[in-house]
Amino acid sequence: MRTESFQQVPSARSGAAVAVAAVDLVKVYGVGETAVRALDGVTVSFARARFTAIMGPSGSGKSTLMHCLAGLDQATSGQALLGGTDLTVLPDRVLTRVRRERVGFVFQSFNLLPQLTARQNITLPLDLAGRRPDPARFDDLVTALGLGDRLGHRPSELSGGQQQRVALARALVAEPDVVFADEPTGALDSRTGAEVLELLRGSVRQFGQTVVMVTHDPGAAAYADRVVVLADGRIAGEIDSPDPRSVTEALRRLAVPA
Amino acid sequence: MILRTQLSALARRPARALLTGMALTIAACAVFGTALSHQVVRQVAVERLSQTPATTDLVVTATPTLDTLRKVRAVPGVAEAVGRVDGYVELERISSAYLQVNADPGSGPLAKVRLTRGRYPSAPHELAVTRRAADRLKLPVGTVVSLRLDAPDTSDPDAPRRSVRATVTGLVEAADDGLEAAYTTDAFAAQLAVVDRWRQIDVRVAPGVSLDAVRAGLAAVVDSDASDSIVTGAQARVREQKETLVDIDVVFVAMSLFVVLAVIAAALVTASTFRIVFAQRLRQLALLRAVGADRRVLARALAAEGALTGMVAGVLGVLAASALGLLVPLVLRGFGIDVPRPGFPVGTAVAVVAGTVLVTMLTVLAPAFAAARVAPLEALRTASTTAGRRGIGGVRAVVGALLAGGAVLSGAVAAASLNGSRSPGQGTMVLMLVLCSFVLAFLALIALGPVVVRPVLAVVSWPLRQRGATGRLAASGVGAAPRRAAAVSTVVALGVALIALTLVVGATTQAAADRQAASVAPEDFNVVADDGAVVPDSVIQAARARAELTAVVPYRTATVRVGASRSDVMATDLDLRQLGARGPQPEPRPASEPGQPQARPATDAPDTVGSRRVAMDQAVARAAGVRSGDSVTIMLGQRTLDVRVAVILDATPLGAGIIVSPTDLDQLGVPRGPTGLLADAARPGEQGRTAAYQALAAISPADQGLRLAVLADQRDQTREETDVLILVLLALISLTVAVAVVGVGITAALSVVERVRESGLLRAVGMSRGGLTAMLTTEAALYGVLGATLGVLLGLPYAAMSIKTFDSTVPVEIPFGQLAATVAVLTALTALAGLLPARRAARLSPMEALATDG
Ligand SMILES: Nc1ncnc2c1ncn2[C@@H]1O[C@H](COP(=O)(O)OP(=O)(O)OP(=O)(O)O)[C@@H](O)[C@H]1O
Ligand SMILES: [Mg+2]
Repeated sequence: MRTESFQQVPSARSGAAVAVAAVDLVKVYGVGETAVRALDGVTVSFARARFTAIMGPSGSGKSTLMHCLAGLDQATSGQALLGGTDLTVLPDRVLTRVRRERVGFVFQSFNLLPQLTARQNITLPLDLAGRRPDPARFDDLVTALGLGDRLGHRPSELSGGQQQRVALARALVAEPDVVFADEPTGALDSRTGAEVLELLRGSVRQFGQTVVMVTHDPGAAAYADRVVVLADGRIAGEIDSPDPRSVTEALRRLAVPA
Repeated sequence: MILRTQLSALARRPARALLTGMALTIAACAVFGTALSHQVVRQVAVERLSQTPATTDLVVTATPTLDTLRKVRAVPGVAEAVGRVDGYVELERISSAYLQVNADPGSGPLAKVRLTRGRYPSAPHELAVTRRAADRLKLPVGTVVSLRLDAPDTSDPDAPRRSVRATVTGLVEAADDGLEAAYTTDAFAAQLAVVDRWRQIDVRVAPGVSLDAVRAGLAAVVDSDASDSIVTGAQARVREQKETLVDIDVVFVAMSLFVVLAVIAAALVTASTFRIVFAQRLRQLALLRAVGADRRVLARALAAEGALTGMVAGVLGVLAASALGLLVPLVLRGFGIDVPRPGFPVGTAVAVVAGTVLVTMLTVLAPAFAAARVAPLEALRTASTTAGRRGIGGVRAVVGALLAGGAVLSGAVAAASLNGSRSPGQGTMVLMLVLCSFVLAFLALIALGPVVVRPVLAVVSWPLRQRGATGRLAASGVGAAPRRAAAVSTVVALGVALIALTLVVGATTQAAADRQAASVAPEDFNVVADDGAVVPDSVIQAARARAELTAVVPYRTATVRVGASRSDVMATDLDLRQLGARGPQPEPRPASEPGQPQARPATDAPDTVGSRRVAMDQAVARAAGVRSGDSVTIMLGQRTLDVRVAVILDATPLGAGIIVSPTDLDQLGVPRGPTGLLADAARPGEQGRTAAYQALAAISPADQGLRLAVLADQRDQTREETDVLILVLLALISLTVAVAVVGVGITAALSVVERVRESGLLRAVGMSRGGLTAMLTTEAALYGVLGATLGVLLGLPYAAMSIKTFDSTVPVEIPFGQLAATVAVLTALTALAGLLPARRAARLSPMEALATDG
């Protein structure tokens, strides 16, 4: 557990390859008087096959950072590097492919299309790419997520936790370079939340998946290998091998309310 | 309070309110526009098409003659008297052409024409013609033209042909420019047109003279009941106006029927729109209910919102129609057509707005009450779409089933009475049954829509679903809201069913007319010798030698009497086997019951005519009381011949009553020389026809007593007339279709709005901008395909039945190409209607879309 000024952050832990990185990333919403600097020069990198949590107070820019790194939103300046490709200079057409093939995203809520079944929702990115899912991987995923008997149901017939697991399966099915999850447990009770977190960690351990997750919950952050703390659109510090207590303590020390 | 919340919601999103009322705006615009154009057309009719000039004081209508005119002019107090002639004269040309003949002073208060070039005729043998006559009949100023004077008794074959020559001295402009007309002095006009074609004498009374005195004087001249035959100019004008206006009003009543259809379509669209709009606010409404809002208050607030929407739509529609009313005359003026600007009938405008509000209230009630019944718990639902229920309620199912049953029943009764024996007057009843069945079927479609839509959607979207994720998503998007899909595609179906009906009836009529034309006008050209003359052998040889002509068939005609009938019919020895291959092959006829010989088309006849074996027109056969196989006596003068009727035709070439063999005509004493000649153009198309025409004109100059009729042109003309009628009907129906397409656009726009988060999600998981646009556009197009398919399925049986009502033997022609084109056009239009909202949705970045408050 260590805090650093943001100049020293770029290198990844334990020499692992970098999956995603932000370099001096700036995102400004609006113009003139009402302009909001959501990201104010963020430089950070996320190692491959690691589980990283992003924490920070509300409005600190966590979601914005993830959106920029996932190619969902256009940064104002700086670089958003996905496997060495700078997403900020790509046209929408290419970004669409990136989203489809190299990134998985799990939102806090509204992850699924109501008119599609669970199975159709899971294979949606592959369908859009005109690919068929690898049956072995699909079965593995579905079994690991415990969705076997729910594949024919529509989202309205699934519980919140089940919906979130379907969303996770969709994020994982295309074997993306990185999975982003924005408060995936925000709307779930603690037991269901714990299930989803286990699954995320499992995908890192079992499949070597890279996962970046935003959370407000120190307990959830403790599932990660590393915690990056954001405040006012800048990196405020980071915590290696976190556990709930160390996270809470670190946040308090940074005067950052969780 | 609640009303205020709702209205402020409306005020915050005026675009949404406009969208909701758009279909009604179009309907209101159509209604008010029809009222305005009715007003303008009446005005134009009264001002321009009146036969009697406004300066006319008295009108003498008692079958005047030139002599009457002279006497009228002599009556003291008459300042000017103009005889009006209403007749035709034939030009002395190889192919027949007619000029309408009018008498007019050419200048002065009673003139109805204005000279635009040259000089107005002042002496006999001078004519002024309209521009159309000058152009069409090639009569520029200075032309000398021969006019055929019909002998009063044309049946006398030995009467000498008389003709006069006249010089075109000027061009005139008349109120009705659509005629090929000539104007001249009353004396010459009277010579050209036969005596009894005088219509009336317009009289202008000298200033200061009492009208009654002149009237009395005139009465003495015409020596008939004065009160009838002499009226004031004003009275005459009123009478003429009444006649014209009645005609105009009938046309507008017919037009209003189609406007009413459009209004019904708009009401259906609006009801569906309100349902969608209220469903989108379901959570807000549920929240209001959760905090204690009363259900009835809520419903009243929603209904009030509807009324306001209706008012805005009505006012906009009226304004739009008025704007068009100002614009159209300007545009028409650009084309040289002078049309007065419509006024602004305030009463009508208020009525239209009030009517719109009323219709809106009617459409909003059911959705408002349904929405107000929302359970407070709905507020807590997180599901973002408001797909609504998928099926239909029990009551609705029962009502729908009853309606469908009624439709099938009345259709079956109609079909049964079509097959059974017919009695006069039954046709109307059957037609009413068919109409009733159609209305019931449409109502059933409205009631059962959501249930019907799903299987149809499954079928029509099958190829789409094979094509990839975008198509599959579009199909499931439409399928997820079957009630919405049903509501909007039902309106499309109404328009398409009417189009299909028109197309099928039109194609069948056209085909029947073609068969008729192929019989009556079996070849392109007909050269006829004048009465008593023959077609010289040299002309026949020349015609056969010309490369431009083919299938040259000379024939003879004679006027005969058949059996006991007293009237003359034309007999011809035209050899049917020699006719060019024209028209369709013998039509497939329903097997006729034994003992009831059916009339057959001429194409069946060729080999049946022989010595003493004749073919007979069905009307002639009926008049003579003859059936196929009977013997009958033909008489010409003192000679008679007994023949057998080999076949009865439902239409005969050249309008002949009876077709016989040449030997039969010989036996009746008809001279050997042919009296006519048929020929076809050797090459197809307009060019071939022109070449053939010139060839025939060259080998048979007018002074040989030959006349050339272009049968092909007559054929084309009937075709054109049917085509125009079909086009007019389609144009009127297109109003309903336009409302339906707008309905699809509105539904697409509202769906896109409510599903913006869905769009964001799709973009987030990797759907491209183009893919999203394509998906949403395809959804709109699917509404069109659904509606068009339902419409065609609904329209076809009713088209067949209504055709059978008029003529049970006519084979129904289904214009598959045109129907396919209709479906394609509707698909394209609805896709277009969906394109705009689709592009708007695709422009949003995924994050903006996801962040939208669902
Ligand atoms: N579309 C937008 N337009 C304007 N400002 C925005 C927009 N989206 C985010 N912001 C602003 O950017 C800043 C960062 O927002 P962001 O959503 O990244 O915060 P966050 O750290 O995810 O907060 P939370 O924990 O509440 O989700 C906030 O001040 C927010 O108000
Ligand atoms: Mg956030």
